[in-house]
Amino acid sequence: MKKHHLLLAALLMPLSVQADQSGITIEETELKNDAMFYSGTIAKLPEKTRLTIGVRINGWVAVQTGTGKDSKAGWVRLAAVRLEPQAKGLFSGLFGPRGLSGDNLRKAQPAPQELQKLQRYVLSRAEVEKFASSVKLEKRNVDYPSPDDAAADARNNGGAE
Amino acid sequence: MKRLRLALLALLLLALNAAAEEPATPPAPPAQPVYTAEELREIELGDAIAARLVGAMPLLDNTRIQAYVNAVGAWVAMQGERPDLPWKFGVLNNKSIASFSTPGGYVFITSGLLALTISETELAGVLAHEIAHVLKKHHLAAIDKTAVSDQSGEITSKAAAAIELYARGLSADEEFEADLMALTLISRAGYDPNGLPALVHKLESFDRNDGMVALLNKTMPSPSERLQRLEQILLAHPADFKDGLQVNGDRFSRFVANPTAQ
Repeated sequence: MKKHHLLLAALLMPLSVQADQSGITIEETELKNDAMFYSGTIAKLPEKTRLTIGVRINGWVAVQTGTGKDSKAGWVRLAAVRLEPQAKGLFSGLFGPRGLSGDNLRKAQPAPQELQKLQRYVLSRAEVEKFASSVKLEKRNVDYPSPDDAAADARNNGGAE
Repeated sequence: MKRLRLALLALLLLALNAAAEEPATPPAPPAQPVYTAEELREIELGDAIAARLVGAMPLLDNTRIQAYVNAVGAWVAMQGERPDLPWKFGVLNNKSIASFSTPGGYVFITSGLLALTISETELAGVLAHEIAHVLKKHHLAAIDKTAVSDQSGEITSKAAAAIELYARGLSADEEFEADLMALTLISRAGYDPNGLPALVHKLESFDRNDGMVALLNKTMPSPSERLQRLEQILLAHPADFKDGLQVNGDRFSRFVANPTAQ
């Protein structure tokens, strides 16, 4: 168990350093040892439990409740957690003018000369494959899922609550 | 143009520390795809719509970021059913959280949405969602339906009418379909599919009245609905959508963290 907590702490650390994300449960949910439904339950978290948010894996998110010796770490379903609203101005130092509405789009005049600039960034198929190979991205065979099948599978596996 | 493209590729490879591993060899001349009349019409319409979108928001003036986003986007697009479309990816200089695609293969992401992403797999997830709209011809079908009453048939007239679609949004079912297809496309490309739900999860944290997400809220299903559907798929197909594939936060940061660098 101690080792497990160390692993979770390591998973949580990069995000807490980076953004200190916090969230809140939007329904009662189980805090699990691992990111799996059949994993052991550490605790039942009531609705509106405050959490520190870590990495996300296959529909699960690593979380930590509270601080100090009462703190618990584990995994909860991603859909059971809502991130707390960002502090105002979090992105204010970033680039670009702010605010885009449907009216901005409706009033826009065509800018073909601006669009022409995009052509310079286009890579050939061979160049793209070279990029992927240089960064060791490997193709996999994966079929498109059917939304209906997915819902049925989740019910059969006892997955979705 | 060829020299510029070679320079861009060299820039990408150099930044990835890969250029030293292999001697630089000029790429073979790309084979020109042959398009059907229907595809040419679609591409022409896409050009006209994209010209209006960049008229609303200019492109971000940063060669490194634009080249990187094009490389990632083109790799994901190659995993779909229309790899030979003239795919072009652009970062729009606007802080709002939004992404767009047009018939014919233009895909745009705002600098605001790019700033919200923290890894290459999240970026790939956004681009894949937009690529899926193009693969399924969602915009094209909606534009054609609207254009039944417009007898002029002019591309410019159609493009002007199409902008209304971008202000109003596609149907919720089409957005959900694009999300599910995006999971597959990024998985085929070797990325961790969790990038997409991770990014959608972050969208929940915005106040509904925040101007940065005004257009997104108007044109997309709620993040919680999208998240529920994505979660269902991930849980139902653990073998297809396994974790442990590439996330690439470091590589992403090298290209995107300092947007003022060229």
